[in-house]
Amino acid sequence: MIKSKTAANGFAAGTPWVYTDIVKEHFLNPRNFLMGDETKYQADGKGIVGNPICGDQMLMMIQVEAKKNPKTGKKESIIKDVKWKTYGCASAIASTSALSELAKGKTLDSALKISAEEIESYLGGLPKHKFHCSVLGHEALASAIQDYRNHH
Amino acid sequence: MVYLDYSATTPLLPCAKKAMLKAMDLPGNASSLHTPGHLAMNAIEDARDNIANLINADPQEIVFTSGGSESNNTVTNIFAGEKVLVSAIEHPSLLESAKVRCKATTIPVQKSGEIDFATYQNLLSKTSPKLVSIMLGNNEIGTIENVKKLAKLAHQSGALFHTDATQALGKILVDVKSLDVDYLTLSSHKIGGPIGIGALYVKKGSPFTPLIIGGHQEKSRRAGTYQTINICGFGAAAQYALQKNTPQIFAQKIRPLRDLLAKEILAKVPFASINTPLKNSLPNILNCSFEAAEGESIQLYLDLEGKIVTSTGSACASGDGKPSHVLMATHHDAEVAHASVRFSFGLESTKSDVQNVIKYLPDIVKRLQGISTLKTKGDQND
Repeated sequence: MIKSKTAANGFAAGTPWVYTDIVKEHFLNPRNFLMGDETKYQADGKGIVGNPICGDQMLMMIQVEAKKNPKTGKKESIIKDVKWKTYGCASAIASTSALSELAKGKTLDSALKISAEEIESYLGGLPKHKFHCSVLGHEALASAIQDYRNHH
Repeated sequence: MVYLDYSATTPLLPCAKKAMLKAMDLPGNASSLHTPGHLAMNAIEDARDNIANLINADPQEIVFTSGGSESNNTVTNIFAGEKVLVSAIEHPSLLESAKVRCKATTIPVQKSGEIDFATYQNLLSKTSPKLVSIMLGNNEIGTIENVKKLAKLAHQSGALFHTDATQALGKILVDVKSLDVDYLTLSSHKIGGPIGIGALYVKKGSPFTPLIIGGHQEKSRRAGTYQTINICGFGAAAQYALQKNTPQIFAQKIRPLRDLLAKEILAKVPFASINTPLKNSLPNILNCSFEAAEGESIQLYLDLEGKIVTSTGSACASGDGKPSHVLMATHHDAEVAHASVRFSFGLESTKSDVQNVIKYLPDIVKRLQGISTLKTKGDQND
């Protein structure tokens, strides 16, 4: 692992090609991904966005449970589990991994409010031209939540 | 580190470094008419001789430039406003500058990257170009074009011929007389010389317009103070290529390594395909694609986990969001381009480099295929 501010390719941190150590860590050890056949996962909601022709595609799957909010006493829909798959670059893998961590345990409404900027700041920044990769994960999650709501 | 990105740039040869260090002690502007100026100019002319010898040209036919991109731009600038024919797999410095400056028609290529002669003949007679530009060895997939025959056909139709030999130089024999081309692009840092220097071979009597004007340097063919240090490094690298007969080293030592890697990849990496036409390619380039796995991710895992450095044709690596124009021209399939990795070997490459790739690559590709939203052919058959 490269610890210094200068990446292996010699570019200084902040130039468009450099990934932060957090991005690299999520890329090397992605959280909540699903390996292999996704039909075996019992998803309550599923969303897929992107296009392989453009070089990236993301699938988000969520399991939802109803829980009583101890403060309000109202029942809320909570994201119990998230699994994802992606055909994409390092940025797509890292940002989807980060998003899955952020979304877990949140209500559907607050999960929908996770912004691309929030994912980016969780990762300590993304190269400028890679920003759309984190937007894509965000869109896939929104689409999975919509899918859940359409069926429940 | 396992360096398999020689087509991007090569490490500086010790002899080139030595020549550059020596040139740093030459204080004069090579254009000056005093003794230090003469000494610098002598060193430059020695370098020019070495470069000319390497490609069997006359030293006066060599014009120094800042590199391959400038040489290519110089050629398209000579033919500004004219009809030109360019292959679809040229380097962007040729392809894009031809489109901007000239009336350019693109010659399609076959899946191997080779030009189909019938299509080419047809385009020659249909467009009557003033210039044809087809590269000698492709930088991404390594395809070697039959420049000798293509140039002959161009000449028969009244067109002049340029070839970009940036990647071919030092890897295969490059002989301007035998190829019978009118212009030829050369770059220093692909043969162990420094970055920032290249040359254009201009056959005696060929039309010429300088790209950079405002100085008498290079017989008024390229203005700008002589880069004595870089030129000396380039000259030393050219001399090395000629004396060591590097094309023979590439044929005997490097090609078998490249072919071994191709064989191992097909045997050990699932759903791999080879984009390089192995029998008709530069001896050091191997371009592969891996179904459902994205190239930039493969490249970065190889780098971070295996300290193996390569290149990819995926859009995510290109900077402009578009996948490799070369693989799009050969395969017409964005997934092949996004999933591509280029391994490029050099004089220092060894068998252990190949073994290292095979140690890491199969697992990386399998993992990426496992988390991919795309199906491999195997999944579809299930």
